[in-house]
Amino acid sequence: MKRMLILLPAGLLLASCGRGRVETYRVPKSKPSAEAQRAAPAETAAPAPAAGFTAALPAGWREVPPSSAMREASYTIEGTGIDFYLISLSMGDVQSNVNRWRGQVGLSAASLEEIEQDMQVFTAGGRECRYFEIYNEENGRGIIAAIIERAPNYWYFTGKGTVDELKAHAGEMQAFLQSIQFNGGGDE
Amino acid sequence: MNKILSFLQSLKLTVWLLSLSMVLVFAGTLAQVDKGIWTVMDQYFRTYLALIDLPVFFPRTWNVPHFLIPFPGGFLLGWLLTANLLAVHAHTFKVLAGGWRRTAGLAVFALGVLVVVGVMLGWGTAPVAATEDDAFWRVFLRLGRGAAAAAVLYAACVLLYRQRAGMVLLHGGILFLLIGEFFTALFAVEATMTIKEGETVNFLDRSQELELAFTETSRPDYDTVTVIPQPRLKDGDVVSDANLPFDVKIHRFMANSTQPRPLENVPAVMKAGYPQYESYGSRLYIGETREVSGATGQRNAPAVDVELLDPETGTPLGRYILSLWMYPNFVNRSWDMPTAISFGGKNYEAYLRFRREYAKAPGGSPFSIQLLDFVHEKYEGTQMPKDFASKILLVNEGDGVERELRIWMNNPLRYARRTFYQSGYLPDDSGTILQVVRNDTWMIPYLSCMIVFVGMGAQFIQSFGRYLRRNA
Repeated sequence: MKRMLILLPAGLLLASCGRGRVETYRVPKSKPSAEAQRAAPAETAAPAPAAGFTAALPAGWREVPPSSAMREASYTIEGTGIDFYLISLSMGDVQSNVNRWRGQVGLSAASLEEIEQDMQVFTAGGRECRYFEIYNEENGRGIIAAIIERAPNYWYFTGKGTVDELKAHAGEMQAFLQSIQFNGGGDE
Repeated sequence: MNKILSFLQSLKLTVWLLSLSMVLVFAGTLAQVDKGIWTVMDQYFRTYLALIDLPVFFPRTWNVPHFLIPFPGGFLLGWLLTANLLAVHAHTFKVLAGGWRRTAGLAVFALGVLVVVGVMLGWGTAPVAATEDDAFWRVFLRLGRGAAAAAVLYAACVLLYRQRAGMVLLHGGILFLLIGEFFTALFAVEATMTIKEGETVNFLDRSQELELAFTETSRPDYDTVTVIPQPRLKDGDVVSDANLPFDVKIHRFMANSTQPRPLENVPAVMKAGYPQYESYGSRLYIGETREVSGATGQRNAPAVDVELLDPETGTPLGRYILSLWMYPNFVNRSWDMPTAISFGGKNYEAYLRFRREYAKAPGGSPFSIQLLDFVHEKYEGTQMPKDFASKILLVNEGDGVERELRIWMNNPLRYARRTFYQSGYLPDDSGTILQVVRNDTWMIPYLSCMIVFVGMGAQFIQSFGRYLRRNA
């Protein structure tokens, strides 16, 4: 009986061996998401035929169906959880919008002077584009946003994600915005 | 032989073993500052020989050389403690009964063992148990079952050991707990099931093991999956298999890797020496990084740097980086990044993923779970979760099971020798994450607890009775 007890750990060790074999098996097809990914490969940059504009999609970007009625267009960026989308609103006050975004990432409100210091301005489709990078390093959340005036409305491109992800892809977002070509309509 | 026995019976050995256990637990706890919890479990506790990292005992800012100190591992200490307890037991608690009493005692003991096995395997309980009742009564009922087993064992001890029955029983309870924990360490399996609303899933992700999976998707009716398990992913090894048209050379297995980011944004100093990968690695940077601390609750994302080789000539066919970051269930379905490989007219999708186990009932028939609805209620006006629950459809056609059930916090589903806990949810409440635990010894703590309780109670009552009689 005592010998049996001594042999027990060795037996259990042997029983736990056997892992490490390469195995092959068949499964029913069940990968719609991966198939969809292959149908729209992320390798090629392609124009984004979204509502009223086209733009060059950076590598790894994919246009996806908007998740709400308010959104004009939505995009995903491979390897990140960034949610980048366009909405169109009639209001365009910079300070209140930037402070709303700051509040969403847990930052306190800023004065107009502070906001303008951090604001970048460039041209998108021949229009002025006011561009903001808002990062809360403490909780790791951030928003990259751009406001383009297209009277009577304002277009808001907003990217939400972690600070690390947004910083890594900020250059792509700027390139995307600068490549925008409007398809006519609006005030043009 | 006598020397060995007297060594095993000595109290000194008990004290030494307990002291060594304390040092091991201390070192293992400190090690979790630098390493993941499961790495520490394997390196310190679930092993016969632990290798303690010397720097764990010093502030990390001190540049202490990285020596590994050999030390008795958790399994070795556990078995020595068990041997110590058994030896003391055999020496101190001699069977006092003879004749019919001994026979009856052994018969009742056998009955007690049978009751213990029955309680452990859940004889007489429902095969599908999603509890709707109060958690308190559920635990109470389990302790009640444990008490029934303990009562039978106590009767056996009374027959065999007479007035020492209580002491024998409570020592037996401790021994049972020790052995139970060893079996838990060896055979318990933790997994997760990630299901989107409306989706049906028939596999579990074994979250402590990995595999490199190549899925051949060329056929219209089914896929053929070839998996290389984690123990085979050793640096420098070449894995060949008749079912793969290429050999797989493992350049590097990384215990943790960085989240993918555009290669063009990575500083040149980091890109120097970055291999020329195919597929995602050609435009995304995924590098090795240090393991996350077990104290932070973060998870490691292992990665593997592989090169495919022609099996005949050894000619390189392409180098790939595959990281757990690319596996959708690791990133809560935020994205899905299968690495597409075409070779010999066949298309493959490759992932480094959690080891996949297809769900089967003990009888062998497969089962699946469909998520009908996921409810996530928050306290009004706040983001604080009030309740989150999964309404599921459990289907096992082979066993004729089709049940709509609800799994919510602290109210798991028990089915097919597994327990399904509500563990988390997907972004935008679009799905659920169930933690699935298979632990056939999960009742042992309840049983040992009640065995020790009955033993201590009996011992106390007996001593108290003796005291009262003496003072009467």
